[in-house]
Amino acid sequence: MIEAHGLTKRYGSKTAVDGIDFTVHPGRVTGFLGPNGAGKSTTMRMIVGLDHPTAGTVTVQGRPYARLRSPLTEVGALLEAKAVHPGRSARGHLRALAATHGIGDKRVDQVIEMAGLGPVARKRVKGFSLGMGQRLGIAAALLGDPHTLILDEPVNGLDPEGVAWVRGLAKHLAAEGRTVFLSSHLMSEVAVTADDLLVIGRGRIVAQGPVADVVARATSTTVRVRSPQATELAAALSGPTATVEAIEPGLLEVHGPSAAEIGELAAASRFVLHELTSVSGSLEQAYLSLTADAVEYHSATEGTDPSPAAAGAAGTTSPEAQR
Amino acid sequence: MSTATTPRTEHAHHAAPAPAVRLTPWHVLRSEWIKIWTLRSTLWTIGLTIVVLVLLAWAMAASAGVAPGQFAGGEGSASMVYMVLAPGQIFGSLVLVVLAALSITGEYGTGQVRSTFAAVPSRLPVLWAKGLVVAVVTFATAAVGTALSLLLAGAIEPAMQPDWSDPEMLRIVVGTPLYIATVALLGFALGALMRNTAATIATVIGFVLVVESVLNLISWKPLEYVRPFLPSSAGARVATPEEFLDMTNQLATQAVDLSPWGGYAVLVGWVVVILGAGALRLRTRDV
Repeated sequence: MIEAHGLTKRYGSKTAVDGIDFTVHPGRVTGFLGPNGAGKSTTMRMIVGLDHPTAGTVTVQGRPYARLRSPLTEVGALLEAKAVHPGRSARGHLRALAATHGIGDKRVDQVIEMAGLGPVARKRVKGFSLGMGQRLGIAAALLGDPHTLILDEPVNGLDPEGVAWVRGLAKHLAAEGRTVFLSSHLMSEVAVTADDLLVIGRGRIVAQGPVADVVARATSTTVRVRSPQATELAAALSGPTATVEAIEPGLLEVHGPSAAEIGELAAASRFVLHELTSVSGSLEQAYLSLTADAVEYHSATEGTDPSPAAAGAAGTTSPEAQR
Repeated sequence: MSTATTPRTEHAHHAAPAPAVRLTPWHVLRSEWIKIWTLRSTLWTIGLTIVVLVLLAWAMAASAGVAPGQFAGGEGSASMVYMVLAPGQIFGSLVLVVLAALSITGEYGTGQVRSTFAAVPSRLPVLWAKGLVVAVVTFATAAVGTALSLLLAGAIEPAMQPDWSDPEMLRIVVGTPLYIATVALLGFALGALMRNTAATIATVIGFVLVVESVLNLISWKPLEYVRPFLPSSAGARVATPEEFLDMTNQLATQAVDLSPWGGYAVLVGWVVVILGAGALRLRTRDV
């Protein structure tokens, strides 16, 4: 269980984390989602005491991390790949960390095997790829067989096998009753692993709760309408409560009214419809609409105003992403 | 404010960790011991230091410049032994100060410190354990180098075999590695405070090599009150026979004539103050 109350971190005049409150529950995987620079890493660093909060508190199992008698068995954290001296071997690094808690070499070799680092365990970390560094960081987090696991962008740089391993591991550990808190800037990544979501933007929590609830609240349903009279239909539909977009000749995407309402209007106006499909919002769409106002760094190529409506229109309806 | 999501089973049914698994100062010390020996640079530095100390002693013994009888004590006197060890005192402290500084600035430079402090969030035990490990390793290195130097020099030039009846002999022989290890700790303490390898090494070597030497050359009256308290010059007194201390005092007048151990205490004082400042900074700063 991780609890934050009014947690704040300011660097000079810049507020990285702005008085956030949240609870991360045991027995569930909680996804910590937010765009780059939203405050995810800073929050995680404050949980394990590397950064000191400007205001507010954060506790693990009811205690500040620094007061834990056995931090590594309470919390395992991967905060950044390669928080490692590059001149040390993977095994040397893990042995040194394990030694702080009197954890023996047997456990060290165990986590090396779990993380698939066997063949490179005695090689210096200097030559490790991003993925290998990531595996080493996860191995380090697992050393103390902790009650709480905090993973910052754990699948970064991992190969597909590694990604599957991390997902399985997170679910498995949560099923054992542990607290699993993992961050990502990708909704699709978090959605396949997490039970709960904590969405952060510009240092503030913009949504939290079970994944389905957060997504439902953030998405508006889109109706796809195919009609030979699309232009006339669009004119008829347009109004203060509806946004209509022509995707291609004869195909409209309508936001606002339900499929039933559109069908009734079409019937009343004697328009021919070839298709009338209700498309529920995608995860990415929900994410974009949640964080649209809170994105710190817009990519230059985007060019357009990333308002929720625009972001919503951009949301695709790929079947994998639908929930 | 937190929209709490439904808490599920609070009870983790995984095995409780064995009681021995716990963060203790002793375990942190063990961790730091593993850390220093799992870096190849440690072995290289130690090997290099010992080899160069012995080579310097060999050069001193082989050179004809040192004639028995030149000093008060004569053959096997503390002054003779000091002649063998003096170059190594300078070289040994310069190399081991780098090893000591790197042991802590290397943590900051590589990001290792975040792993370290996540494991030991109280942080200070890391500083004490690392300092102790550095002290033991540098002292042992300098002691082995000193012993081998004396054996070799004595074998080449019998006049340089230590005469243990000389009352100053033990102080010079033990004082040499003690001085070297303590200067190394000064580098360690500065590293803890400055957190940056280049800045730390430039400061400690620049101060010891340049600033202290320059201050010892300028014959400005007020400097007489500064000179006795310069860390390296003061500390070196513990490894210098009285005969040479008198010579130094004549070259650069000092307002206070510190005893050998008094001088060493000044060096220790510098280490303690800088390490204390480093400890204060360590507790409060983000890493």
